[in-house]
Formats: sequence, structure tokens, C-alpha cells
Amino acid sequence: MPPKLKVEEEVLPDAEPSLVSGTSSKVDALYNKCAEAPKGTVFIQRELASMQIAESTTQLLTLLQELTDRHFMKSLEMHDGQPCWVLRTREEAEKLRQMTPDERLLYQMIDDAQKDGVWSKALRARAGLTPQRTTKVLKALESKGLVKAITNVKVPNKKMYLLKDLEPSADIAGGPWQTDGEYDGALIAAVERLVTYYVDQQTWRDVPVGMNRHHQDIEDNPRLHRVPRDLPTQRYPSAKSILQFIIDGEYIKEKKISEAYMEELLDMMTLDGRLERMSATTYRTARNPTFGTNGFVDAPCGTCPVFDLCGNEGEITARTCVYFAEWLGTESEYR
Amino acid sequence: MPPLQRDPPILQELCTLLVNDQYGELASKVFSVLCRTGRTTLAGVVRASYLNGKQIKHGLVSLIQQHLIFHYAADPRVTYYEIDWQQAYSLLRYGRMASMIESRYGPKVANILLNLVTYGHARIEDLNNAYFPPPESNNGDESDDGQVNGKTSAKGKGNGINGSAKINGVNGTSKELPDELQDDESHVKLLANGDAHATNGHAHAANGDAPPTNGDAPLANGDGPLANGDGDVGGEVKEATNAKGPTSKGKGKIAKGKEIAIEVEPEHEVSDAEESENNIRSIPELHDLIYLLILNGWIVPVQPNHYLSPGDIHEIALQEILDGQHQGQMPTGTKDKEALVGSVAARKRLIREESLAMETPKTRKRKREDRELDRPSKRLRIMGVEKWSSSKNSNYQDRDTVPELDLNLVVRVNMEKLSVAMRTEHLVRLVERRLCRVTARIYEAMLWALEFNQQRCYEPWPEPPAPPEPGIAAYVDPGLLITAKDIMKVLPRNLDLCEGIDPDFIVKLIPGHRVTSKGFIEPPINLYDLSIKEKLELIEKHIWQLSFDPFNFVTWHSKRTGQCAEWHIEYDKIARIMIQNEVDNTVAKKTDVLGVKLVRALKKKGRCDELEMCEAMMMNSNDIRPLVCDLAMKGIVQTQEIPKVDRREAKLSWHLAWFDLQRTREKLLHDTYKGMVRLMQRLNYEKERVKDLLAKAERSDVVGNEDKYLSPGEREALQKFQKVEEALWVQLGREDELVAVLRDFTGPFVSV
Ligand code: SF4
Repeated sequence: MPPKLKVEEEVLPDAEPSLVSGTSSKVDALYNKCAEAPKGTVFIQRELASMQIAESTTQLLTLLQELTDRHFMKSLEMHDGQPCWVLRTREEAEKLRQMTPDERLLYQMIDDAQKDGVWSKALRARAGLTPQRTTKVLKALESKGLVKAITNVKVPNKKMYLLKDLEPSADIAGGPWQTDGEYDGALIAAVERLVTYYVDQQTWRDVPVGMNRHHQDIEDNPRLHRVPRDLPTQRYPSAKSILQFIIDGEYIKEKKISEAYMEELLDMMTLDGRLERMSATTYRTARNPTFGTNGFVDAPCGTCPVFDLCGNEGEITARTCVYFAEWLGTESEYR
Repeated sequence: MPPLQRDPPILQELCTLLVNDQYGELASKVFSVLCRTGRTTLAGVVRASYLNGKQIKHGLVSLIQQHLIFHYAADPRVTYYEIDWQQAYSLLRYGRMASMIESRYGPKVANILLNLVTYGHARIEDLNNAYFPPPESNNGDESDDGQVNGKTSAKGKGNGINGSAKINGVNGTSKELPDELQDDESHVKLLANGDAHATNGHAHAANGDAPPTNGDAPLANGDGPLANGDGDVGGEVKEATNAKGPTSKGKGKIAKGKEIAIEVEPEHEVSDAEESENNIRSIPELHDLIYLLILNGWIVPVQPNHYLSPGDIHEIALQEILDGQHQGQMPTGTKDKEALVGSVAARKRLIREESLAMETPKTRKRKREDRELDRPSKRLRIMGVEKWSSSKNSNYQDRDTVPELDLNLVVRVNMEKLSVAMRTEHLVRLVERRLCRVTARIYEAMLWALEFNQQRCYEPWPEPPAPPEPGIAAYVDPGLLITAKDIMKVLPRNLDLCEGIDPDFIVKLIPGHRVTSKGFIEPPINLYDLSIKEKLELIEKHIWQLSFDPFNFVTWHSKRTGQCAEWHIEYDKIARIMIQNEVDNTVAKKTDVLGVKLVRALKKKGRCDELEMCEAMMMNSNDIRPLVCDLAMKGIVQTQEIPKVDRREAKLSWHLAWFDLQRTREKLLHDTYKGMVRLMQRLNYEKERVKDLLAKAERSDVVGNEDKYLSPGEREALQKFQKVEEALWVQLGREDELVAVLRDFTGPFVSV
């Protein structure tokens, strides 16, 4: 059993009072640094590490734990299981700290559901509270301005709860990408091109190979290669900035695209390798968007249509193989 | 979905072909009998084959010497034999190993390794004798030296075996043979000669190069030729030379001919200076280099444990734990059972560590005559000499001493270490593709330095995972941490650290320069003028770029005030990404980009019905349906049909699809093995087609006089064949790289 890494320095110079009193400390520094980013920014561990505040990963995690315990941060999980964190404002944190345990439990469930909202009955069942108690707690949360109740259009007698500042998700009956229930391939392709163009511009820079050499005699068109732009990951393009670019350029007239739909498209574009996720919300294009190859698929057998039929003996074998004959320029045995 | 299973399990087939190629027919026959029977006794092998007892014993001895089979006698009267699949497959990798060693430590060290590979394992004393024949039988010191160092022509090929290789009493390794095979050694001679023919075929096929292990003799007769002190030493020395020739060739094949210039020398004239540069000049130097390989984990001491199969080791460990902690009874409670798994794994690790442990060799003061002993070259330093001070062998740091290895120590090569090096290579290639060449060099330097503390890619018997504790970072072995400072020392000084970084960052960092409209830095920065701090900042910038790449090539660990940040590499996570990456590449070639898109959508979303797939891919179901079918047929995604009503009707069912990385990984690995079998089969077929010509070209009177004895047509056919052979071997090497990614970098994933 490997020993747990020991942090030589005292881990935290008593962080608690500092948050309240505002004296500077690492916890404060981390909080303030994160607060510089736009509200609602999701941070992953390596972004937090690159802020160069903690002295070790263990210390960083301790700081984050501290912030989470004190409700200054919310810890979440990305789709791939990677942990990530979102900052709360000091007011929010204060409110959370003053909640009763029941209130906090329900609040967290509502928070987890995000745009989908939660049905009050589901809340009750999961929290294991009596109906009266549930109603009371929800009322309290509402009066504190943390959550709101909405009615679902389809099932009017179902009461849904949602975080105060969220808009309920639109029914996914189409959105801009669909026309009459079918995906609009032409529109999608057009927006994809715009996205690729913009993100490419923002994230990579073409510079001459050997940019740091004497180049008096170098011709006018030096060979270029791409280097990553010097940007913090938070400033890489996001759904918001990409959308802004598309709106500003007035490229797409016929449809209005919202940020959520943009996110949907970007997410899809990461699937075929054109976009890569740099952080929870930002993207870059792949330096080389084509797929590589490997020893298996380069050889005749790798893409052979009769691979499964080919055996050690019988009609189709390596001896009688037409693909090998072509690949090597030799003759195969006549079958 | 299942492919027609009329072939015998594919890895067995591949390994049998490899054994046949390297060690000839007899060995491969015995090998294939063991393939068929699985773990069995000598009697079992006899029953299952038509070979006679003598042949079988002989075959077993050679296979054991090469560590291709395990043997174990729980009861001293019955010995069980079992194939070591990893090692058998590794036959394909000896050439690659030599080239990796060469690029890290230079040709001298690669030469030692090749000798070891030829012999399977060897005693230090025998290696001494092979390189520096004892004076009484030495006829011509210099030329022998030259040959053993592999720099003179391989003209003596094949003669070695007729040296009077008497097995003398000090045969240090034969005790590793089971008693029932001991008597075989007297017969060895004869068979060795018999075998030689089979393998020699290969030799001439490739341009007069000796075949991989033309040295059949050492293979066949245990450590005969190495141990012979009184015989024809010249002969035995030539064995060593031969081993060099062929494997260099093997490397050429396998490593696609890159970097081969340095060691495919046996055929070429080498200038005197270069020759002596690349020759090992004294026993202290030899020991120094062997010890370097041992410290870095490329070669390990041989212990009886190495002849135990994983199954046997498991049984032994289990029994020990049961006896020690549970009074010989299997525990019943779930908790106890879990604890048992943990302690058995720990016990197995202990057995392994014990078997690899080696006493720190005695050292003695550097004497005058050791002066020629090189200071480690820069390359060597990269590989950990710098770190020796921190390792437990700290006395080695003192460069005024030389190690004196125990002459009875028996060593063998460690193939697990090769996987580590292959992983390094693969990662560097990925970075070159995804970021930039200079960043890749920096990454390579990090990986090389970290290799020093890595015997293997992953722990096959890990601690049961502890539940993650919030607020506590996973433990990282301090030996696996590295800083920009560590690698600055080993990077070539002329490496342009500015390359691959946004020029705006550079001019901010280093005042007095600007970026021209074309993107040049004006005036160019003189690398030799950079301060240490500036250099470190540039290197760290590269490292941050590695860290922020979605592949997450390095991970920040800590930074003490006033010091460089420490980094580590999350190998397991990257290994998984590499596997996914190869799956993506394969799918992209077998179908197209849409296939990859589907695979990744399923990977992200888990089990999906059609509607969910449409949403994730933003495509219409008509376009997706055929794609799912195609990938399901190819065994890349899995499908499932769940009826919604109690009738089975397509319209009233859910059609689900999902992707399981472990399953696809296994499928792809299986296919790759099969692809490799086909390549070997095709190679054998191509050989068969020019059989007569090859036989002629191999004749001793023809070798070297090809122009005289072969017609232009024959020469052309020979050349053509050599090209074909080359192409097939290169491809095999590349498929082997894929096997490494799929199989060797990380353990099996738990399937979902
Ligand atoms: S040997 Fe030929 S027929 Fe057989 S799988 Fe390979 S390419 Fe296909």
C-alpha cells in the first residue's frame, strides 16, 4: 500500500476565518482567481492547477474540498466522469450555509436536475420526507429566492421545481436543426463550416517552420505549421463566443440558434474529431483532423472483405489471396 | 457476428509460426504439441506427438533455454510444462529491442543485449568469456574482439556450432532444467547441426545476413557454446557475431529501416576508429554496461521463479496466504474474500520482486587501466545516470568505482521493459502529430527519464482499488515525478525551444524581439544567449501545452515555492485513450468518419436506442440504421433487441446499440493477430515459390560470389523476393506496434 503523499507544509493556514474576514489566503486566492472568469464557468482540475495557487495536487484538492464544504463551489462530474467545479457567488454560498439540512438536500436535487427541473413528487420520494414537510421546505427555498416552481405545459397538474435563474429547457421537438422532424443536413453542414473556420482561427496560429532562424534568404512563402495560440483555456472559443461570431456575421438568416442548440452542435462535432474539448465549455479544432492509420488496416487483411472467410486451408487462404498478390506484386496460387 | 471459428486459437498459430521461423522445425513441432495439449508432462507430450523421446527432450530444452515454456514440479517426480505466450510472442520483438537499446545507450550496449537474446539467458562469466576469450585459447585477440562486437563481416557464420562445445561442470544455468531433461545435453550437438539448416534458409533469403539466431547451437545445447572453456573459441565468438548480424536485419525490418544505419554494419567496412569506438574494450567496461542495463531494468537476474507460469505463481501465493492466515481454509465471508484477493496480489508482487532483486554488486576503485572506460555519454545520462544518486544503488553514482558483477549471476532480457519503451515511442509519435516536433522531443526526454523507474507498463496484480477519498490526490511515486529542470540538462543544446510556441508568448517572455508580419521572430533569438530561467519557462510552456491537450499527456503535480513545477504522467488513462484512438483509426479505415462518429456517440451516451443516436449524431434514422448494421457485423458495436410487447416483432421492439471498449479491444487484437498470421503464411508461401533459388543462393560456394554463380535472372528474382520479404516483415512490425497498444500498455478494463 503506497503511503499517502505527505504534504510537508501545513496544508491550510486556517482557511475558515479568512473567507469571512477577507484576509488573503490560498483559499481566497483560488476563489478570487476563479471569480475572474465569467459567471457559471465550469473548471476542470488542470485549469485550476494552472492557476499556480496550490503547491501540490493534494493541496489543490484540499482547497477545493474546503470551498465545496463551505458552498463556495459546487462539484460536478463531466460526461466522461472527470470531476469539475462551478463557482457560487458569496451571497449564494451564504444562503446555502444558512439552510437547514432538509432544505439543502432538496436544493441539491433541484440543482442537479438543472434545466430539466424536478417534479415535486419525485423530490419527496427521493428525500423520504412527508408531503407536508416537503411543501414547507420548498416554500422556504422559494422565499429565499433560490428556486422557482413552474408548471409543465403538457401535464399542468405536475409541479416542477427549477433553480431560480434557469429557463426551462425547450421541448426538444425540433429546434433550429430540424425541419419537419428531419435533420436539416444542409443547414448543419453550413454552420459546421462556420464553426470550424472560426475555431480554427481562434485556436491555432500558422507560423513559418523555423520562425526563429535567420531568414534573409528565405523565400516569400515559407513553409507554415500550426502552433497553439497563447490563450488560457477559458478564453478558447465556447458556444457563446462562436454563436456571437455567427450572429455578428449574419451568416445564418433563416433560423435563430440559441446557445443551448449551439452547444448541441459542438458536442456532436467532437464526435468525429473535428473539434476537441479543451475544458468543460471551450473547444479547439484538431491540429490534424484526419484519422491516422495502423499496421493492421494498412495491410491487405485489415480491410479485406473476405477476412472472416479466409482460413489456413480451403478456397481463400493467404496463398491464394488476390489482395496480397496485388499488394506485393507477386502471383498467388491458382485456386 | 462471430467469425467462422474453424481456425485454431489465433495466438497459438502465430507463435508457432514465429518459433518455426526462428528456431526451426523441431522446436516448433514440440511447441505446437504443447499448444494443443496445454499444460502437460513430458509423458503427455510424448503421447500427443509422433516425435521420439530424444527429439522431444531436445525440443523442450531449447524452448526452456529461450524461456518459451514454463515448467513446474509441485511434486518432484512430475514436471509440468506450459507455454509462456508473452515470451513466445516476443520473438517478434528482439530486433525492435535492440534498436531501442541502441538509440538509448549506443551500439555497444545493444550488442550485449543481442548476445543475451541469442542465448536466452547467460551467466556473467560466460559473457566475459564470449567477449574476452581466456588467454590460453585465444588466437588473435583483436580480431576476436572485433567479431564479438559485431563489426566485422559475418563470414564465419554457421561454423560456430562445430566448435567442441563440451558442457563443462561449471554450467551455471543447467540447474534450471528439470532433472528429466538433464540427460539431453549429451545429444544436443547432433541436433544443433540438424537444426542449423532449417534456420539458415532465412539467412540467405535476406542478402547473406545471418538469420535471427543463426546460433542454433546455443539455443539447442543449453549454454554449451557459452560455457565451453576449452574448445574452439573462435567459433563461439563468431556465434555472437552472427547474432548481431541477423537481428540488426530483423530490426531493419521491424523498425521500418529508420535509424538502422548505425548498427547494420556487419556487412560494411567500418573504419578503425569507429570500430574501436563501438567495441567493448575491457571486462570492467562490459560489466559497467551490463550493470547499466540491469539498473534500468532491461535485463534481470534469472531465478527459478521465472520458470513458473502465472497460474502456478498464483497457486503458490494463494496456498501460502491460506496456510499463513486462514489455516489452509478458503475464507467464506465476502469481506475476507476481498481481503484475500488483496493479499494474494501483494504476495505475488513480493515473489516477483524477490526474484528480481539482486545484490548491489561489489565495486572497486577505478584503476589506471580502467581509464579507457568511458564516462557515460550524454545519451546515457538521459537514461538515468543522473538519477542513480537517488536510487538505492547510490554507490554507483561514484564514477570512480566500477561494478564487479558476480560471475555466477545469470541474466536474461526483460521483455516487459520493452513495452515501456514502445509506449514511449508511441506517445512521442502522437505528440508529433497532435502538437509539434519540438514539443515531442521534450516529451520524449521526459518519458525517457521516467522509464528509469519503470520495470513494466502497469501492475498486473494491483492493490484492490481503494475508494477515492475527496481532497486527497492519488499517490504518485516520487520516482515518477519530473521537472523542466531535469530535462533541460539532457535536451540537446541546439534544440530550438521556440518552435511550436506562439511567437507572441516568446516575445513577451524575452524582450528585445518582435514578430514580423510573416510570423518570424525578429531578430532571431540566439539559443545560447537564453538565461536558465528563460529556458525553463519555454520548456514549461511546452509542458503546459502537453498538459492541456485533450489527451492530457502530462499532469501537473505540485510546485514548491521557488522551484520548478513537478509533473507526472497518468499512463493508465493515456493508455486507454491510445486504445480508443486505435479503435477510431481502424473504424475510420474500415468504414468512414461516420462510423467513428457513431462509436464515439455510443461511448459517450452508453446504450442508445435509435432516437438517441439520431440526436447525438444529428442525423436522420434512415442514414444511421445501415451504419449500425455495418458496425455490428464487423463486431465493433453490439446490438440488442428488446420487445415492448410479448410478441417478437421488429416494429414493436427497442433496438439498442452500445459500444464496449474492452470487447472491441479484444476483437481488434484478435483480428490483428490473424492479420499477422496471414502475413507469416504469405511469407512462407513466397519463400516456397523461390525455394530452389534460395537453396542455391545459400550454398557456401555461392555466398559472396553471387555474381559468378547466379544468372542475372536469378539475381533479379532473388532481389524481388527480398523486397517482398522486407515488405512483409515491415508490416509485421507495424502490426506488432498495434498489438502493443492494444495489449501491453494497460490491463483489461472492466466491461460495462
Ligand atoms: S489473406 Fe487475403 S483473403 Fe485472406 S484475409 Fe488477408 S487479404 Fe483477405
